[in-house]
Amino acid sequence: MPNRIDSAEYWIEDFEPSGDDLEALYAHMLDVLQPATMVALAATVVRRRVAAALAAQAVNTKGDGAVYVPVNRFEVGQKLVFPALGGVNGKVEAVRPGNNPGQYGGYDVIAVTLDGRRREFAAGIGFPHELAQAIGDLDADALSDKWSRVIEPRLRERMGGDGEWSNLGDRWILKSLLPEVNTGHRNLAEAILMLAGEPLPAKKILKDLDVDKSAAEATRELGLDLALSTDKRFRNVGAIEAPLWTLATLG
Amino acid sequence: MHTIATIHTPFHIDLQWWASHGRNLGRFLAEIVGAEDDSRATNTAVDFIHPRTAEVRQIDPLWARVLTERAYQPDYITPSTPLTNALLRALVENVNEPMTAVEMHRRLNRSNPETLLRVLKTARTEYGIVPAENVARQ
Repeated sequence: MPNRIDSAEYWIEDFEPSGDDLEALYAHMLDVLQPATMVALAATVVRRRVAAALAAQAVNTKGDGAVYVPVNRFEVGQKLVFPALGGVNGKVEAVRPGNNPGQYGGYDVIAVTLDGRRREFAAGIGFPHELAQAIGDLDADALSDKWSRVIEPRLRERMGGDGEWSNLGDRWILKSLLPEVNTGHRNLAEAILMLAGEPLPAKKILKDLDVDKSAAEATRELGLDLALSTDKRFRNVGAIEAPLWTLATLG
Repeated sequence: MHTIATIHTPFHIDLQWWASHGRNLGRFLAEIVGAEDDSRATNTAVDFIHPRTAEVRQIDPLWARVLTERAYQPDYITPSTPLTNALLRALVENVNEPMTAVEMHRRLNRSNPETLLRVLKTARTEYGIVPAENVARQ
């Protein structure tokens, strides 16, 4: 039985980044056009999966009846869909009163034949149950808050091996979005740092560089940081998330 | 007829074995819930509502107490629970729906499926756990 998207098992045990997840991240980056942290990208993945689950359910349940949620009551002849059982559907064949009120309070028991087997399910329960929340009530923001950091390491591992992406520390971006930082730009940066006599962040160096100004400022900064990080003339004396550049020859 | 059990062979508790060997599963269940004895329990089956699917099974009242009061909790099966006892507890928790050694391993998070299969094969003499040969797996 597949785990529900709002269960811990789904995100902790089952989750593996899929091609659809990466496609959604490409689209997201093309939308925002600037670097994102891995946890922000993970949140995008969680929201995409929730949206996909809701859309799939809308398709699956179209015409197949009401979604089975144990807090609801049902009538004989009513068609039901069981998302927690992989979306199988059946018709209510009988309703009887529950016989364990001491444990559960008042409730009904409905009989439904699923895949040729007659089974019984609780209805009208008044106590908290995992299925009491219909999948339609899923809160994408709450789920992303809860699970983004859990899936972040697996997403980072997958994207780290994807040639489309580039990162410096926890700033991730599509390579295709980075502005060109050529040898001329780097030579000029070397001169700027020499004249400054102190370490500078990319933001200040960029003031005197003609790097594609149509790109977002954060994207230009990451582009320059990445370019300087691979040029032996430059040394980062700041943090990897907030580099401060100086010349390697300046001790 | 004997089949060769593998790590994918489902096992369950043979309740008739308990009766025919003069063993009392109720006493085992009573121990789990900490009841003095099971003599006051009625034989009338009661509903048990599965915590995940809300499927209803009608089972022995003492069994229902185990499921509602003790099963699915971290201390129901612990690393110090004897392995054969842990296997029986897992099947009790699964309302005796057959489980393979692979599924047992996933539930117990101990040893490995091959070792659990060896233990399952010997668990008949202690707990009447046998291959569910006629049970079709979905």
